[in-house]
Amino acid sequence: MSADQRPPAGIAAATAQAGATSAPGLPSDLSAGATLPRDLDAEAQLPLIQGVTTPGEVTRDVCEPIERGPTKLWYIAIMVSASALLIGAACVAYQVAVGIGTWGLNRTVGWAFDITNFVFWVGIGHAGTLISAVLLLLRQRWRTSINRSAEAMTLFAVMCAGLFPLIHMGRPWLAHWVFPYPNLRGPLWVNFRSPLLWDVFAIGTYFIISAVFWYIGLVPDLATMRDRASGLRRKVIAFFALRWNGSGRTWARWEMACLLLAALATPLVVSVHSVVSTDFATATVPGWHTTVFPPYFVIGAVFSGFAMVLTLMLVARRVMRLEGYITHKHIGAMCKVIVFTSSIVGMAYGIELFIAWYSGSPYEQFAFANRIFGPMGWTYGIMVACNVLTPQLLWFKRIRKSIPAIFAITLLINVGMWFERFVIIVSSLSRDYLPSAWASYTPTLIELGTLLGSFGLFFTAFLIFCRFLPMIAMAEVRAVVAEQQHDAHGHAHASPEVIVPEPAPAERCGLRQVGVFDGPDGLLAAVRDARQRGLHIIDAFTPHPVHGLDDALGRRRSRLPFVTLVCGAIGLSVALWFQYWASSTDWPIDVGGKPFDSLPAFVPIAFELMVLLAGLGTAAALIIRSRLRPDTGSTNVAPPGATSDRFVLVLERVDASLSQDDVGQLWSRHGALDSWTEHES
Amino acid sequence: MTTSRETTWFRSPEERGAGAPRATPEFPCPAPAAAGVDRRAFLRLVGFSFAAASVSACSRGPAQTALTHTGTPEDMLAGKAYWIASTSWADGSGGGVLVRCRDGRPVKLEGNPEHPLNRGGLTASTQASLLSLYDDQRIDGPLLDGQPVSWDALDQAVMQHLDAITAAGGTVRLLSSTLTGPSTRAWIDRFVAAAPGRAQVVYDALSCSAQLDAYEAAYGVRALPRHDLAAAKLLAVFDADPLGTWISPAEYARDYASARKPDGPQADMSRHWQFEARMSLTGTRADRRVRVAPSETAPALAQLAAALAAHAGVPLPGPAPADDALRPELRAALGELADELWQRRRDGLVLCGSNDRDAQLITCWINELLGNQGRTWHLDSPSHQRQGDDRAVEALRQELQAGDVDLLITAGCNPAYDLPGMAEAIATAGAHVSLAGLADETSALASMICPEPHELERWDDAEPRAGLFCTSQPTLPPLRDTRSLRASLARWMGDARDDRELLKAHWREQLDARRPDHELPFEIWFNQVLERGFVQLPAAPVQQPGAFSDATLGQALGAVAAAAATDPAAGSDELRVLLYPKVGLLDGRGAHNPWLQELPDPVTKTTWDNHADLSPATAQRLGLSDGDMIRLSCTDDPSLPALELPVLTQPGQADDVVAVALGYGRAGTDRFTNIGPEWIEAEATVQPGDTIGVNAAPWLSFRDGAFATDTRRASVAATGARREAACTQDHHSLAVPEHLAPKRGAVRDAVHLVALPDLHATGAHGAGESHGGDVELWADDHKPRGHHWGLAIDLTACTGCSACVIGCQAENNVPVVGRDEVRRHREMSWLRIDRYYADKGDGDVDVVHQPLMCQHCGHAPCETVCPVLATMHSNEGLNTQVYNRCVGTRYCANNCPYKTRRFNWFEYGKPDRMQNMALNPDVTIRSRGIMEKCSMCVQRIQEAKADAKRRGEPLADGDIQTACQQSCPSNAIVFGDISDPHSEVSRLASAPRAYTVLEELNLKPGVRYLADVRNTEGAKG
Repeated sequence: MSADQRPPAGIAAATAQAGATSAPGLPSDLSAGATLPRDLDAEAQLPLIQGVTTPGEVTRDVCEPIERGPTKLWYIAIMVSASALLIGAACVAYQVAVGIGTWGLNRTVGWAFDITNFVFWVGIGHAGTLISAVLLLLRQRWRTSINRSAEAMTLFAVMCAGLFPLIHMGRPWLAHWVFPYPNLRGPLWVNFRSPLLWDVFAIGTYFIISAVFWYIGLVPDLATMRDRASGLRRKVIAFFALRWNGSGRTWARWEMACLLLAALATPLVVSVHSVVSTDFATATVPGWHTTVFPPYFVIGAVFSGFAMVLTLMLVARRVMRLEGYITHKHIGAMCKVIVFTSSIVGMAYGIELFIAWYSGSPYEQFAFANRIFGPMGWTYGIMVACNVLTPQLLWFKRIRKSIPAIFAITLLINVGMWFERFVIIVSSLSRDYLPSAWASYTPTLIELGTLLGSFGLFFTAFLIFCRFLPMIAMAEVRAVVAEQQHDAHGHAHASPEVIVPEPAPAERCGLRQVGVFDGPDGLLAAVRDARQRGLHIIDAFTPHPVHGLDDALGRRRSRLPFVTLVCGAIGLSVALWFQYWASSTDWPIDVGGKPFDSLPAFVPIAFELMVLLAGLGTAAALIIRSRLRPDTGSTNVAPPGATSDRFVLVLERVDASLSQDDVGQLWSRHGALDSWTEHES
Repeated sequence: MTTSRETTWFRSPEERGAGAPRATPEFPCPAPAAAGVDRRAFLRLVGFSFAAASVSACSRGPAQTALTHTGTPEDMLAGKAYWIASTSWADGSGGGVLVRCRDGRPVKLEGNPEHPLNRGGLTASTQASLLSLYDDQRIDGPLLDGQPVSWDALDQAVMQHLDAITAAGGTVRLLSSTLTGPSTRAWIDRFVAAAPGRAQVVYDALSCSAQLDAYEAAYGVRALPRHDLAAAKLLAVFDADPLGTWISPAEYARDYASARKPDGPQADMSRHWQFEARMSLTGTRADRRVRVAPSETAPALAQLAAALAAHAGVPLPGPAPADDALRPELRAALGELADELWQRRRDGLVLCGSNDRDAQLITCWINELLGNQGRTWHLDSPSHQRQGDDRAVEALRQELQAGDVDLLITAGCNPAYDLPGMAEAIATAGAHVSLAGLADETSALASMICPEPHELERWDDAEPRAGLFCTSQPTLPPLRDTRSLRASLARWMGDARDDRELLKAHWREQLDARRPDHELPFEIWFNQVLERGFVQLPAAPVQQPGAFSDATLGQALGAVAAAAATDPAAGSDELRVLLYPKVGLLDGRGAHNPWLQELPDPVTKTTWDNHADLSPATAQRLGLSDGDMIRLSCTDDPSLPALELPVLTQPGQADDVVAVALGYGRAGTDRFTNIGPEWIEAEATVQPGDTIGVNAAPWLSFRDGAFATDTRRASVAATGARREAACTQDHHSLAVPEHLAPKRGAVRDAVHLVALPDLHATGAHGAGESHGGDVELWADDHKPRGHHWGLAIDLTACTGCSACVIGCQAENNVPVVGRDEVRRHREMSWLRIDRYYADKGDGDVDVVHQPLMCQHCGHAPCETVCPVLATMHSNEGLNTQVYNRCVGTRYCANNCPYKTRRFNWFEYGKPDRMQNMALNPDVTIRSRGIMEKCSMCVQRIQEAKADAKRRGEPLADGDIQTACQQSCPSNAIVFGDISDPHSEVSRLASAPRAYTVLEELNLKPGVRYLADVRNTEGAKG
């Protein structure tokens, strides 16, 4: 058995046939035959993954750079970003020690860099979720190469974002007071009407669900790394790889869990930035008090997030030689998302102006006139130039093909989106109702240092991630590669089999027959064959989820969705009940003259808790049901190669009429690379 | 247990209405039963007694001999406030104050409502003087040649000097500010009479010497008439700031407000003309304001006199000004004024603040001609508040320079700072005794320092108006080893009685005989006076004023005409310099008081600095903008030090005039270098060794027997440097910048300004339409229970004097943050006074003031957004801020449309400062990182409620006064229960003039404003 054995390379054929128009082999395939928008662009004719034809190559390409150890460039990069992080840490420490006065805020402008950075980073984070969840639901195959790093980016961006609401507090050491826990102050609960509290729950849920989603997706790749490693490294990785063995049953649950988490994360991503936007939209400040804010913020977040993903990907593919995985096709698709969202953002800017005019409110009208022509009008100029005008260049294919041009545009978008938040927050606050209270704002060095530090934190975390974890979701990319190969070879689909009931366990003889294949096609054929012959299939171990394997194995559909439903329902009802009880029964407090039991105010937190519990429940059910658990890595839990490039089928001979040779024939008929028999231990 | 009470306590009406009422004991935790004290209760009690014992042991006992204003010393309990009546000269007016003391120390000054002078009002300067009591830089005790000595040693030194001088026939001069106390004056007289060669010289830093001279020349009596602004139906003010700084602002403000009541069909609101060169506080309130250059004041008065003479049909006893001496607009305005004055003769009042004898003589004649004497101004009960004689001071200066003074005693004044050339002159005195309590420019020149106690530490009396005798008692044992002027003089004349004995002896010997009620023994009567703080006695027989001397007026008119002819033409490169006192800081006596330094000037809204105020047109002509540093060099006396000041453009100021505030540049003000928070980007309030602002007093000129503030001329040169003003208000108009203004709503609707005829014609007073809808999204189920506290603020009465700002600061422990923080818009005041200009074209502006504090909205936007419930609504309608819950997100401040919330950006408290003794123990000191704001003086509400409960009486309207209301000299602020239809605040809130700010936001504020009504012509159709 040799990993070097490969089927004939079929790049030319793949070039001719692969496309995004159908997705037969995708892990997330829900219903065959769903069509996707036809992409008329010639980019669509290119294969998604170029120059890679086997699962083993994916493993090698992704794992080897990590195993080789860091390069000089990485050291330089981490030193730069860690320095920035240290500067930021020093600034934060100084600010916490001395006071928020070390920021340039004043009695009129109570938020500026802090919340600008917060909204900016939350927005950056959105692309990760969008790519991993929304595109998964939409079966966009091109997401597989970038979703891992995009999700990682989400996590780090949300970490950066979460930092700002924490340190922007006058007394950050009391930050835990924003959580409703039983306490000796009454117990005094929290104000469930405050959008800032909704933020706490939204961001918290977002971080947790994103982390869970990311980690669940990472487990199979960690298993690959574990199986390539040895010594302490193996032990450490094995701990997190949760005894993953690539079993067909686990893959099925894993896919279902991913799908459910994606389904949960998709409304979450919409809700998070909607909630963030209510910080402003529910306020009285002219220029904030705008109903268009939730969609405006969400689309702005997608826009800035995609720009940030692209910025990072363009660097990473170059530095880490991942051009074959992150191809022009990916870049082109993302450029289109950017130009699309940019146009929506531009439309939102226009709607804001229109509504300000149409509202007839002089305060609104002034707020926008002031935004554009007032003392801080230059920030508005930057915002429009970077967010609306510059991305329009991406209509041109030549620009879409030019990596430097795209890189420059995405950088400008990041700048522009930062300024968008700054414009909304600062220009609105600085001149609101009473001219006597108007005041300007200038950032201090501490604030600039803190902003720098947040970038330091982000890039440091990202560099560490690049260095120690697979940047590319190997399992999912393997599936895409396999499918490209499958399409290139022109294999026809086997029709779904009639499910044959499994023989009773009492008839088993205890000898396991193991066959190793180099591709999913052979495995699938062998599975079908074996079942027709009445062989008992113990399990199949694959390096990526194989489409149709579940059906071929005759497995029942996973019951994870039920768990999700129950957990979500519990989260929703407990949250609603608790908010109602705390606000109107336990200690009713008059807040702004509002009714104690106003249900609409309780909706955001109830939603977030529903998602949180559903997501955690789903992940927990996956882990418990599939018996995933931390391990020391001292034994091999997966058949050799099953986490990298080998497709392993384990059978049990239960029909006495079948001889050992018959099983051998089965293996050779379907092109098994290797086979053996082992006694059940 | 507490269940013996019959009252059933309930939390909500629903709960009460429910079938089985859940009785909640008043005290949720059971009180320790008498029979068995358990371990926890025992520990609690022990802990409490220990803490209580420590606390009471730490506090200072009250001054043993003081008599409280309310109640007897037996009532003094630890933690319970008591009041002592006193008298304050901090603003130079001798108003009556009630000193609120807690645990043996004064914590707040309030106006004495019974006092005939200020009737409860108190200026910012007076209220802030509390902080000066606790100034940690006060002189510790007697100093001889800079070395601390005992009083005996110092007295010996002084007496040796006195004896030697008496023996040698030398001269002794006692230089003081106006001292009205009868006992002090008696001792001064004795001291002066004790030996030949001794004399007293009196001066006022804010001099009215020319006015006194004028009355002396006209009537043969050197006296300052009492101006009755309450009786004046027409007030014409020339270059004076009676509502801000002139003579007796608290008294004038109350009178002025009482004459300007616009409500009711028969409203007889007084009309106010103001002629002035710079925008004074009084000018901001004028119905008609005319800009006149300083050189035009006297000719304008002469012109007015001529016009009135024509009305009266009497000959003008001197030359009338030439027709071309005045600008045509000014002539026309004066003509109108003359008509109105003539119509309102006997009810008008013309005031002139210029320290120019000629102008004062003409003013006096006009009032005489109009028959105002005895009606709006009174010479029979003259004011004693200004007695300075500038001529005598100038003579003393020359005497000093000639080396003719062997001993100079300075008391209650700072001539080395206040008077031009005096520092050099004093340095030549043979010997110099200073009685300064705080080291100043003058005491620095003295070899012997006998520090006087602070006003709040001493026995004293005063007679600010003839026949009105006021007293002061110590409110705490002296903090330093000090002795009053009276006691020092007595000691040097061999009388070793203590201060109280001296005072009492004087009253027994001199004043006891004048009281009408002789039934009471003296002791009891005297104690009653002390308790009350003042007594009205028949005035001592004074010289009756003679008939007006027309001859002197003739001379004055001649001089004015001559001066007008020789005045250099306008338009030359020189600017006329006008020196003026600022509200709060006045002549600089409060320069060591951080509250006053940080009090925004009511007109310019600047703090911590003086500026070169220029009219916008002049600034434009000179190519200068706000913050440019300029150097003013005196052209008529090149020996004067140049003044380097930042430019501040001031709308409404006369062109070609540069106005500079006095009172700055005091030595030692670099003590405030680090008054603000210290952090890496912080800028010092003042550089070490430097002073706050610059001293403009050397630019006073001695003219015609008085120190004039407006004769100097200066050339202007930009230095190229810049110095941004620490201004609390960036934008100065209710109109938004023109290029950003929407079609409707170019003017913000915050202040309603309406002409009296328009108000009566239409009842409308708003600038914009009301957007207040009656559609509510949810039921209003939070009706306040019991009380609903609210404020009503009458903008017609408000003068913008900022007394409330300091009142609030003192009451609520509002920290001082320093120049840099103010510049960064982080001032902490809970109550600000917004000042807006409305451009009238031609460089003239209307000015409105609007005190703005937390509006205690029923639908408070701040409350909704706080994540931790740190701000919420009380069931009495208050928007409360719970400091210890606050985590400091500042969301509430962002969401406050009034921007009245204040955030503690740093830890402002400095535990090691003696000034902390001025902190109000009833109000929490806020730590860093939390939000604070106006609480409607909730501590006063609670105290009054507890008192009423103890008395078993319901709380009456007026039992509670907020600090701002209490100190308001013009009664513009009224606090009370809005839910009580008979309360004063309800009456005002339902007045036709009432409105709420930003009504269209439907925030249901608890603060109502009453439109600012001006007695102007109105819209004219």
